[in-house]
Amino acid sequence: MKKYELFVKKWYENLEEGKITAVKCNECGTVEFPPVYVCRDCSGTDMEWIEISGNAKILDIMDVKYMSSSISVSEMQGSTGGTSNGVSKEDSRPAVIQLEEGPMLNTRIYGVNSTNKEELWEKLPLDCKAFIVQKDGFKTVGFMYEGEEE
Amino acid sequence: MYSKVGNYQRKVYIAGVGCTRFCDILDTPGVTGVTEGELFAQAAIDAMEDAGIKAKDINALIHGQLWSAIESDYLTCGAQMNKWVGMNGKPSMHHDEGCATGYVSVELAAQMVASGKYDIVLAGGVECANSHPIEGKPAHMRRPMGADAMAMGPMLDENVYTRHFGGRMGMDAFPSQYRLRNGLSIEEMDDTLNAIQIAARRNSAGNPRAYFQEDLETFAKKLGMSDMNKFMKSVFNPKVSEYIRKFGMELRTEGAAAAIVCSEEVAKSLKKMPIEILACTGATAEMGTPNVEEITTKEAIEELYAITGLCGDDIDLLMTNDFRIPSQLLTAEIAGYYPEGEGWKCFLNGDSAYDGRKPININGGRCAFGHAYAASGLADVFETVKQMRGESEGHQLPVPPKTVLVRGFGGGQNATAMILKA
Repeated sequence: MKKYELFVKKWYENLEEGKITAVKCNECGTVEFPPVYVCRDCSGTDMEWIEISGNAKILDIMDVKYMSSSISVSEMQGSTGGTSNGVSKEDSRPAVIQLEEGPMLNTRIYGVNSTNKEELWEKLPLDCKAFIVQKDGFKTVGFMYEGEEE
Repeated sequence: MYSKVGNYQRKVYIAGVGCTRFCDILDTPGVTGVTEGELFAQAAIDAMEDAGIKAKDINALIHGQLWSAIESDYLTCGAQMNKWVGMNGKPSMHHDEGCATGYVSVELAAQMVASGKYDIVLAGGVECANSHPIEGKPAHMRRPMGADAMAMGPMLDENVYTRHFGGRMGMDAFPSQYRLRNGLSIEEMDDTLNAIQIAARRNSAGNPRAYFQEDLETFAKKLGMSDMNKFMKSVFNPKVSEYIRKFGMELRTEGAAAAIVCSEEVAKSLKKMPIEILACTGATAEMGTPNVEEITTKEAIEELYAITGLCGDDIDLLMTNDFRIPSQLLTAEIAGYYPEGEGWKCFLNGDSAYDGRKPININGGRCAFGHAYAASGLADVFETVKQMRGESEGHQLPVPPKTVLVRGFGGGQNATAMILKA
């Protein structure tokens, strides 16, 4: 019987070691982030773990306040704490980002708030950087806008 | 297209439909105390009576419920529904595709009949999305559902593998990109989305099953406002995101709906005008995928038109899941129901209302009729069938539509499309 590697467990264990990882298809070179078993482009299953650079582009940013007409994001954030690695979720916005290695995803971008959102949106695409977020008992990945280079 | 889809092996029809009112169980006199099983059965029995059949005539049952683990004490809830509708011992299955569930129920039933395995299948969905069972208490005792019970907080950014990567672009990505693509100002986009909201509430007014049975003009007057432009941009309708205002967000409700799906032979033996399911298609992309609603809707509708040979000009009525009001604009243009890049003008002209040139969501849709997740798609099918037969209570279109496109979308990732033909 074929033995499958546990991708989710490994991805989180890599974060504990300070590494943000993805998998690269050995048949066509496509990178999958977060890692999955089958390549979206060629259907290949021979995947190699790689450490990503963390460099990414912000392609779009949005200003979302509520989830539905009756329950707000802030209410739900309140139910689970409302901060990531000491960074307030008030200081983040939903965004589309693209990793330097290729994958695009809907995520949250930290370092963007109601004060600078409009100004930053006009300048898109902007650079951002993946960072490791400490949650309650595990680590995950966030993306941070760190300002423009001098 | 990603997949190759062929025609059904034999023709499939909808012979009967049923739908409860979409409301809040805890706040609606006469409804308070109802359970999921009773709601499901009410819609199912109405559908059976509409078709002129009894439970003993039905071969199998499909049950849809999104939050069965959160809002229900039932274990293997589909089996419980068998008992409620007099089908104990018959085959049944439970499924969940988020807010697309009800649309998928019809597709699954159609496939089961088209294959020749069954002649009559009951497809039903129920959702009690505003209340919650109380542990250890009987099923009719419920409490309001709050943020804690929704268990959605963790979904906001840490559930990388079980939901998405924290970004909820779906609400605003489309209006933002549409505005830029077509050169609309922010105010024009705001006016367009407000026009959709006004039409949606006009469509639900007079519908005895809708949550809101009053149009926004009447509502505004009660609040002392007669200028609709001012009212729609007032504190009564604040922006909840960059583009979407409160009335343009889903209205979470509770309810059930059902349809009897059957073979041509059965349909032609029954008393009501049979409505043919010409084709059903679907496409799915994980919620973290940018522009997920556009990508999947295009795929589903392209396949649908390829199978049926139809195009947007052939459609008399468009029904689309619009838990975010821009979905009406997105679907209308992708379906070719409204012209590409010009659809916003159609909404400003009032075309989407029941008395408009090309109506959309004649029941009011998710923001006015209400959204009882797994039941919503079947409520759209209920409305479609009733309109096609000329039987809609209080809000019948003057000319019953003959060809209707029903688009589902849910869970942030599943899009479905079907053509119903009178």
